Amino acid sequence: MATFFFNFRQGKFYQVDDLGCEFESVEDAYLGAFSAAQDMWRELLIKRQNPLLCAFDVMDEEGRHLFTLPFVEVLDACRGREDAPRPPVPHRHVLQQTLDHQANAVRVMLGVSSTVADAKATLREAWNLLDQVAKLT
Amino acid sequence: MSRDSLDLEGVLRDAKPSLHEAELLERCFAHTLTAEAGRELQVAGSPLSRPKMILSGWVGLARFLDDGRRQFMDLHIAGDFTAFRLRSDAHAQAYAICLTPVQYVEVAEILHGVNAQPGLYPGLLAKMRASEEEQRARLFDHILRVGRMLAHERLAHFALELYRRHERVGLATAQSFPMPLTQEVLGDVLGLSTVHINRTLQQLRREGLLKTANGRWQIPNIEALRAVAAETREPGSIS
Repeated sequence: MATFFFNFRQGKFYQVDDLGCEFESVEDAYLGAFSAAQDMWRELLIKRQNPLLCAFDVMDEEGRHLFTLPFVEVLDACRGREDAPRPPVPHRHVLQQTLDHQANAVRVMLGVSSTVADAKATLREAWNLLDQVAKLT
Repeated sequence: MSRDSLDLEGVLRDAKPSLHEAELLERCFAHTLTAEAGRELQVAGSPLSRPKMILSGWVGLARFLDDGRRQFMDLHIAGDFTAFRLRSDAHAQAYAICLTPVQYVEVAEILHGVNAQPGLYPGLLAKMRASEEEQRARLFDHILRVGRMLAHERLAHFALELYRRHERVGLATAQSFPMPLTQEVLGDVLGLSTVHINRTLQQLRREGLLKTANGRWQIPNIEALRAVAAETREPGSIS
């Protein structure tokens, strides 16, 4: 474990961390800073302060600057995500959809019946014509 | 024992036990046990058949999510019963984890005696009933804290609760009390990230509301901290 110091910047205001937090690695310290920024976004908004002006400057025990995490990175992490919320698609009631399907089925059945009737009539006419041809010959 | 520990005299402070009660307590306090930090004193779902009284150290009652996140529902400190319910068929709702080395005594015999012959142990029965009520009141305070308060309010409210609990068992001195918890554990108690706890502690220190040094927290001005905690009623107390 190592101690990391999370100096806080908010616009012109700068606050040095004299307490420090323990993390296993710089990567864990980054995740810790990110998680805190997520927490603090909500509180800053409630206090009507602008999170976009805030950042953590993270230092090691020797006072060396390791990285800066601007709070805007919390927003950046949300951009371009496929599961971003989409506008709702209006959908019809399932009962209405069933009735529509039934009506379509009836229309198709009527069409088939009509076609079969036409075919039967054509067949009858063909037989009549064949009968007449047979009588003439 | 150090000033962070209780003994039988400390537990009986201001109490006047009957002869039967004094004998029972002496039998239980004859065998002090120790558990190292990280040990589970109870597993969620298991019967609460081995209640204990803590003499020193801190125990956290935790529930876990599948991904490893945890939330402490309550903390038990010196003078508190842990793994305890008055009802004999109760089961644990959370894991009881030692957050520091813990000294304790088993009090199953007391619980059995109180349930079997309440008339013989009126003082102990009253103490156990009060302990159950306090645990319930603390749970309500905790829900209010993590559900509605901002970070600095949560920490102020939590510090006041701990101060009063230590004060009640005689372990608070000069408006200060021991604070062995890491920022990570404090985060899991208060539902905040570790770095946010760090920032909030510094804010309360800068404002002169909390002093942290040598593993202790001191509250220089209790009324000022109460104002920050946004509480009209004292945290952890029963109204």
